[in-house]
Amino acid sequence: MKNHPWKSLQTLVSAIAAVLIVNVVLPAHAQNEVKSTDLTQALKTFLDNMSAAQSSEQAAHSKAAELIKAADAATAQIHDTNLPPQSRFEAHAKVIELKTQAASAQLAAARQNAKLLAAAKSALHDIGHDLGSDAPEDLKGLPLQEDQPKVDVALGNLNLPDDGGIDPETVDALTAARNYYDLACRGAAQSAIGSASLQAVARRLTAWEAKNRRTIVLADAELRRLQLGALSGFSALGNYTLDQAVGPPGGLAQSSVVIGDVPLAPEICANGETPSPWPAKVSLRRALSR
Amino acid sequence: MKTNLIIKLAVAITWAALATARSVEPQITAKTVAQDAANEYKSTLDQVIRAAVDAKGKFTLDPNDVATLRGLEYELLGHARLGALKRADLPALIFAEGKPQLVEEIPGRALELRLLKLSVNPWDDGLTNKVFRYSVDNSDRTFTTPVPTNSYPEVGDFEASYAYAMTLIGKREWADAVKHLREAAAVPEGTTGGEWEFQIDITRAWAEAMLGDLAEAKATLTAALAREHRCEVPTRGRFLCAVLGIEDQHLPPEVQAALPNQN
Repeated sequence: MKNHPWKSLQTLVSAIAAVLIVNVVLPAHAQNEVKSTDLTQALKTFLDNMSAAQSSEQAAHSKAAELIKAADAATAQIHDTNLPPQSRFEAHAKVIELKTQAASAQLAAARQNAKLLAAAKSALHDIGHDLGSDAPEDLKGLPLQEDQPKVDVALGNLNLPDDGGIDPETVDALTAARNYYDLACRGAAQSAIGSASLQAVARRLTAWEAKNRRTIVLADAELRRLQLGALSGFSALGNYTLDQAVGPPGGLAQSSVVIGDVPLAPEICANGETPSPWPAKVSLRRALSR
Repeated sequence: MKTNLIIKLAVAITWAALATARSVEPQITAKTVAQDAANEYKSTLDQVIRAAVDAKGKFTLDPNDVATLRGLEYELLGHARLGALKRADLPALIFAEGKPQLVEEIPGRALELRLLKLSVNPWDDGLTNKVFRYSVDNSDRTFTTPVPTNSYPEVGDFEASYAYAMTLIGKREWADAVKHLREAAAVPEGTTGGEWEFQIDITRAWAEAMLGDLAEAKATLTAALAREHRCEVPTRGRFLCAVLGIEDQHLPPEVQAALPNQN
């Protein structure tokens, strides 16, 4: 499948899965024990739905490709004037049937994928919500990380009464708090990266959803064209049958019309002769004057 | 049969009791522990402010308290970085945000930051563009509040002293500011209504608090309240009164919450 959004998504998803677990699940676990379970579930739902959508789309595509290949072979028979008209009509009906099956398979898969992608999008939204998309915004007003060493230096110039008299326990507590802050700053930076990856996945998912919508509309239009093709075949077959029953067509002819890539009924010459010079349609005036 | 029923009942009651206990028990989350740290920071700083208020001489601070406060600041900043504490819930940080130059400034700066966080500026005296009247040798004179200036005032020029003192406050040179504010409030025979002197004295009390001399600040504020002032006591004045234990002043709940606790 060319340019399939899932392929690039798959790489991204697998790459961010670990990042999400470390930066989303673990902080969420720290924040609220219930949330970590919810988030793991959301991550699972997202991956399950994306995988199901991919499988469904690939299966539908393979099936449609096979059916269209078979239809192409049958199309050649429609235009083969050496074949008897009955065979050409049968080939025409077969083409329509095969193409209908192909379009139906793609339409069904696309409709199913619309649900799966919506579920994946919802799960992704939950993950993003738990990640806390407003967190980077909230960091803007905080004292800068790079200013903190300067603040510490300034503490040494406060003219404290007994600068050498800090208890070892206090020193340890201060060191531990500073280490925690450094760790938190690194974690926040990684969360920002994770958040950006999440946004990239969301954009690609949106693109896939749009593609899926187009597939639904295209497959639906294709099915309507095939119905038109079947109708034209039906009318041509009716004429052919009538020709067989009442003799030569008497100047009326059917044209082979193609709407889109769907061949309609083949030209019918009851006796294998050249077609009638009459145009496919005549004006009412001309028809009345005959 | 009967025993089975009793056992089942006992199990059901135990489960129900466990479920009730679990639902009643408050959930410990990152947000609650971060809030605990914020409360601890405030109470630690409250003790520092109270010690400064109660200090007989010059205010000093144990280096252990400085280290403890700084450690709590690192912890709070870490909590905020991880999203457990919102910026709005983060208390004003005396070292990370206040950056006091000297140990004496710590209690005053803490009070200043708390008010600033509530959008109350302790240095906004509300005198801008106001016209004042005073008498000299039985003749009425008026003046408009001057804008801050770098020009050093002449002796007895209370307007110029005010203009210069406000520049010093902008530069956070408290000792000089206190001196010139005292001269600014020394209007011959006083202004009509006394608002000029009253507001300047409140500013002076704040400047003295910034110097760590809260006893002097209390004396200044008490004297200011005792003299005639035909104006309301501003929030900055009422807040400082409450901190220093001067009479009961009504404060909005959010300002009251910024006061140092007594315990």
